[in-house]
Amino acid sequence: MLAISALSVFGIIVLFLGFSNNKSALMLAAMLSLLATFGLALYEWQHPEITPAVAAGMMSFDNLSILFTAVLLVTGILLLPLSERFLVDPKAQPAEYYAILLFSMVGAIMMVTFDNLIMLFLGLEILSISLYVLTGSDKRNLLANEAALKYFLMGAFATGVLLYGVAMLYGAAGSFSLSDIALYVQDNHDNLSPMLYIGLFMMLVGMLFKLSVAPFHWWTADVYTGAPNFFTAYMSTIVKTAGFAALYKILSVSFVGVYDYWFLMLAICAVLTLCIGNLTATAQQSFKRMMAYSGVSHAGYMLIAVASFSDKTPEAIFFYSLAYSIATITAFAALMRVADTKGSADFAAFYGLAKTNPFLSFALTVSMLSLAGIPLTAGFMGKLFVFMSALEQGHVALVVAAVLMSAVGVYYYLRVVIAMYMREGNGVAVTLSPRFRVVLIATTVLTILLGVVPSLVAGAL
Amino acid sequence: MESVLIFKAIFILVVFGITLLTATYSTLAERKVAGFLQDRLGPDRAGPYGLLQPLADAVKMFFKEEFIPSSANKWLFIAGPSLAMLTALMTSAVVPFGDSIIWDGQEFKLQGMEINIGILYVFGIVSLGVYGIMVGGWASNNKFSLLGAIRAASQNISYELAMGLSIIAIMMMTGSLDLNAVVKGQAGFHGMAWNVFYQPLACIIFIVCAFAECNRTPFDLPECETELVGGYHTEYSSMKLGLYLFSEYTNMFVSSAVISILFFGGYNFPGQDLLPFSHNVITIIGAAVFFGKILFFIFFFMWVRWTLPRFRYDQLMGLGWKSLLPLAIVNVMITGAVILLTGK
Amino acid sequence: MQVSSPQDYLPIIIQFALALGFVVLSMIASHAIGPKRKAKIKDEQWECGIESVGDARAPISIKYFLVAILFVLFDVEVIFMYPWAVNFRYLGWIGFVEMVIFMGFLLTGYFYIIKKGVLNWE
Repeated sequence: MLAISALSVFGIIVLFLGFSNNKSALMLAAMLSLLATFGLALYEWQHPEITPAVAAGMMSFDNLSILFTAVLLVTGILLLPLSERFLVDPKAQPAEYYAILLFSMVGAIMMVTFDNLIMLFLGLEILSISLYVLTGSDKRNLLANEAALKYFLMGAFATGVLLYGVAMLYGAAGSFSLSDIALYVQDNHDNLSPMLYIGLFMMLVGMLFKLSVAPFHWWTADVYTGAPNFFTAYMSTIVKTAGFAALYKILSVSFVGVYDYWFLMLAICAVLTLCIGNLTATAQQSFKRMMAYSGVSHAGYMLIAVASFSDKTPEAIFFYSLAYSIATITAFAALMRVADTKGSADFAAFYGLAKTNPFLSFALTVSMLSLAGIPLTAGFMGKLFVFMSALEQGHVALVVAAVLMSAVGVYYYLRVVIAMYMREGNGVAVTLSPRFRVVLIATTVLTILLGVVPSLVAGAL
Repeated sequence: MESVLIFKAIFILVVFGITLLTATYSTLAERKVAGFLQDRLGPDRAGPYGLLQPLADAVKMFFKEEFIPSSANKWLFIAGPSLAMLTALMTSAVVPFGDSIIWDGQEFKLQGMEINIGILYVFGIVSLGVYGIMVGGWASNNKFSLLGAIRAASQNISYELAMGLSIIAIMMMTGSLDLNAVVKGQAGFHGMAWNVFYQPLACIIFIVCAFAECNRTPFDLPECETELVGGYHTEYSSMKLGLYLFSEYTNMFVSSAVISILFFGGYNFPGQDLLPFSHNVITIIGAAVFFGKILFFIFFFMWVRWTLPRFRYDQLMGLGWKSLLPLAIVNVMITGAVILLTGK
Repeated sequence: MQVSSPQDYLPIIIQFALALGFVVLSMIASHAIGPKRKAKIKDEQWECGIESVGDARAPISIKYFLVAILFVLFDVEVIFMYPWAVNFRYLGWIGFVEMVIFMGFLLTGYFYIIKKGVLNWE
């Protein structure tokens, strides 16, 4: 609650800082805002009595919510220095970008702390609308415009479906509150209104769309490719974390009683997502597009964690989203530098990178290995948690499908490594600014550290 | 119930007739006032003192050739003036013209539609009014018309904001959206507790916005003849043009009525509780006084038209957005604080 | 405040019928009475006697669009204030302070658009 209020005010302050001409102060201000918010979130961990007093049952900052908030904020903090190009680009409007970024973060935090479907809707919309704008922030780029329009139209449609579902749920249970709906499901277990099933179905469709889960993933590749690199990185990490936390929260609080109903839907979607995401990713020639489909496939793994619904699920989602976010930040940091230097996001642009910039190549390799799920990286531990959570409930078939598809994943992630180490480049050197260097060191160290000693954060719950 | 409905039907018919009559004679009055202010006679040929002039105008309008440009969108072209007139005529339904007549032990309120959201109704219909102009201007497929229509649209929506904000202060004092309740709330001090004395700022903002909403000088940019020929009605002729012009005068009538109700006591008049007459007589005197107020504001509209020059477009938008809007917000805040502090 | 019942809204139908009748009648009458002469040149739109170039529905200044968007934003905020104003006395100081905060945010946005020059018409 403190985090949300503070972040909203910080966003406005950053917006108005844009009227002064000192652009580098903007990034500093945005960074300080995120750090301060992180501090407030931790403060609330110690003082859980703050939120209930003011939120009137609309939100709750329990430990799981705060953990997800922390993941979101850490992602934001790690990403922010990578936006340094906006500070020198005369066409960019960094004050607006940072302000919208902070506002979207408010939405994301609302999505992990809601206790009421209205707040979920609000959070989702704050996040989505901010992202529509950020996707199209490069006004003169036709691809970005197309992406923004596509994202907006599809997203608005999905929101409509979600809202319709929420309305149906209200019709069935007579309340927007998660606990009231849970009570309704529990009390009328043998005699549930069909509206509840329709509503739940529509709400899930809306959520899965936002999370780019197959068969609702078709917008992902175009939008991720068209958006400016920095915002692609932002949306592929933040939305996944916030969305899956929200999905888990709704299902675990309100709809435990109808597990059989939604398990089937999520399981089918998960397997579909894994197959489509991974198989399509192998066929890509562009690194950025490959990352888009990789994002789709990772949604599949996280969906397995949600669908399996065991004691280990929250831990699995939390750890997986953290590992995925950190590795994705590294990958996009590398992409930003390579694309800015060579003007292309294809695999060919990565040829010979190991010779000109061994540090960047090493960082990217670690990130690729983590995304592929090779042992000793955070990604491996993340997958392990997910599979353990699924196996605990006996969903062997799901795990087998996921393992098979991870093998496919290894193929296309290693393509990048091969491109960097085994191909001849044209000798154009890719340089790193100090900000990039710091971020890359942090993410690489974190990836390895979490892979070796996962108990560092996994025990936090 | 049935007798009430019959009464309502007759009442609405009468009000409708009065509205049309007032609007018709406003056109004559406008020219007479212009003549007076410019030290000339004005129309005086048709009938004594030119009293039959509006009739002659109407006949002329009907007999003029009906012209629709070949490149225009025919149905929208017809829909434009129809919409403008329709919305102008709908508003008077909620206006309380007087208190009530007690007949045969039954009370008949002198108000077409007794609903508790009268203010919202007025605002809803008034904001529809811009469609008539926009549709007509768009359908003409003429550059002048379209420019005029777009100016009208953006001017009307800009001033609607300040207008909506200015009456919030009135609603805070009255605690109701019912126009009748607003009038009743001004009955104190022997019928002199008019809102204009408590809310002078809101009153000024509202009147200025009413001028802009009616597209009257100094806000008549949509049909600014020095730049845009005839503005949105450049292509219109015959009764279609007639409806546009007529709707402007009808809007003036309704605006004057709403201004009188919100800020000048409606049918309240000084000393109404001291007169030794029966309730019905007081009501009739009140209704007459109310009409007097309406006629005064119609005159005021004309007076301003022949006194002030037209705004430039940037001045117009600047006034709406940068002066009236913040002033209205400040007014709401001050009103709120004063009401709470005095506990009134 | 008294509650309005559905039949209180009945007179609106009478009013609407009257208004519609008046409009339709005058349209039909003027259509029937007036002369009609058609010619190719005569039926063109009138632009000061100069041959009109291109379509009239050309793109216009973005400012008008911005004003329309801002209107939607502010109008929605104003609509929020109506129920508040009606229940103002009942809500008391707490309601007032909440509205001041709300207006504070609204005015922040207002100052932002002013500073950005959205409302400047050269």
